[in-house]
Amino acid sequence: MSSFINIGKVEFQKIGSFKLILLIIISALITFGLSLSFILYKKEYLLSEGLMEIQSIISISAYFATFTLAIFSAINWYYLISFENKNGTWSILLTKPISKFKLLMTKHTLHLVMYIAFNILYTTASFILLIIMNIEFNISEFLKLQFIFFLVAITIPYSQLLFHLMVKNGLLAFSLTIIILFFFLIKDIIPDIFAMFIPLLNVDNVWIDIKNTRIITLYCIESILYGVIIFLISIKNNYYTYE
Amino acid sequence: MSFIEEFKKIKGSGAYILLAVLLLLPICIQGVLGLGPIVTDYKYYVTTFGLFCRLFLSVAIGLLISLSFYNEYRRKGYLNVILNGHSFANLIINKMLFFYTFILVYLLTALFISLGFQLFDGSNIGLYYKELLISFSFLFITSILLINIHMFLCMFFNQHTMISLIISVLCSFLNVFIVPTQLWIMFPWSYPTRILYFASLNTLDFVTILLITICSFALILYYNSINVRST
Repeated sequence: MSSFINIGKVEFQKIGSFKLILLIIISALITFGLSLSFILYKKEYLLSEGLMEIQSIISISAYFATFTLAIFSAINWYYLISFENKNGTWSILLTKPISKFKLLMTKHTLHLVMYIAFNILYTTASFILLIIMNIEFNISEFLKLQFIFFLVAITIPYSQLLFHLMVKNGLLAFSLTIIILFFFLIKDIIPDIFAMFIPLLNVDNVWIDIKNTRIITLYCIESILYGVIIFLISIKNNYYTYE
Repeated sequence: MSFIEEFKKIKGSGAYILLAVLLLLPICIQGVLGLGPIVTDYKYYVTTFGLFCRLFLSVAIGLLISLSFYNEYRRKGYLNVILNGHSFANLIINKMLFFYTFILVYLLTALFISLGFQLFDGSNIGLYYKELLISFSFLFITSILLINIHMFLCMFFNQHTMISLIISVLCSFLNVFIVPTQLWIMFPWSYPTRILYFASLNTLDFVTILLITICSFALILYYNSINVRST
């Protein structure tokens, strides 16, 4: 366990702790700024339609958080996977200075820590947003919505990792983020029956049936399963051919 | 014609396949969706190009430029330039010419695919070819502006070419929200989309776009000359 923590610390130092913290803060601030400006821009419309309530506001901020998360996780995985290529570590790993499993486990753990930190800051941003907009809300309901987002949005960073595993080139994988954004923009034209089975779209699908606990649970399980499958693929993957 | 050699530097990295995907995906999807009598003629051209200009074009430019500069660092291209007694200015100008040529071919391919859809839809191109020409020429000019911006970013941040790509992805995302607002003129990444609706622009907007493009040229050439002196 202590060796894991040690490798984790080294991983944090390797990328640059200041850089990572800055990345989380900027991502949360962008989400907050975009959500606030959108709500202020559409305030009259939201008021007239009776949408100035917790669920709509959270779904708006989750919509922006999804896009920010796509770019955030793209940068994050670029640092975690592609930097090793830049430093030539993947080939050194074949001489087994440490096991590949251990290294990748620390990378996943570090990513999870970053993801949790992003979510904490995003939750704080949403909380401030609700207070600024003067909306009455139940704290447990608010936390429940944020927790659902936390579970289903895991598909976005893991899709980004899948791009790295598929194209094996840091810059190309990063630019594929646009495919995630594209999917969200054309979601309306995808038939619902197909959209339900695309794990990437779970983070958007979940707001349609937010009251239906059974479906929400299914979406959460589907997202976590998707993450676990990609995690297993990433452990098995051969990084030697990474460009 | 040594700028053609730049083409070979990226060959084999899979970038051209990805660039082709970034071109075909939006144009074909929008082309299929727009088929039918609802949108015809120039509006159909705008439909096929809309998503491509809004989201994909800046990423394609960012990817091409970042990868080209990244490869120079990764494959010790700059060291080779010094060892073989070439000048950096030539390298950058070659790159510049390559990017312009590539983007022209890229946009022409997009135009031909779009024209294919338009012909299939039964649009009479003879009626609106002038609009097509104006729109396409300005699309090319705005793409040159984006190329210059991203080249400057790559030159400024040296080996951190990733920053240029991050900015291109972030800006294409912000583009979706900025294009409909009055602030578009301050955001060069929104120009390709706005130029599709050129009838709604006034002369001042065109002059501003042209001036900014000329300034970007000057900036690149000036920065290039400073870089040469310092090395």
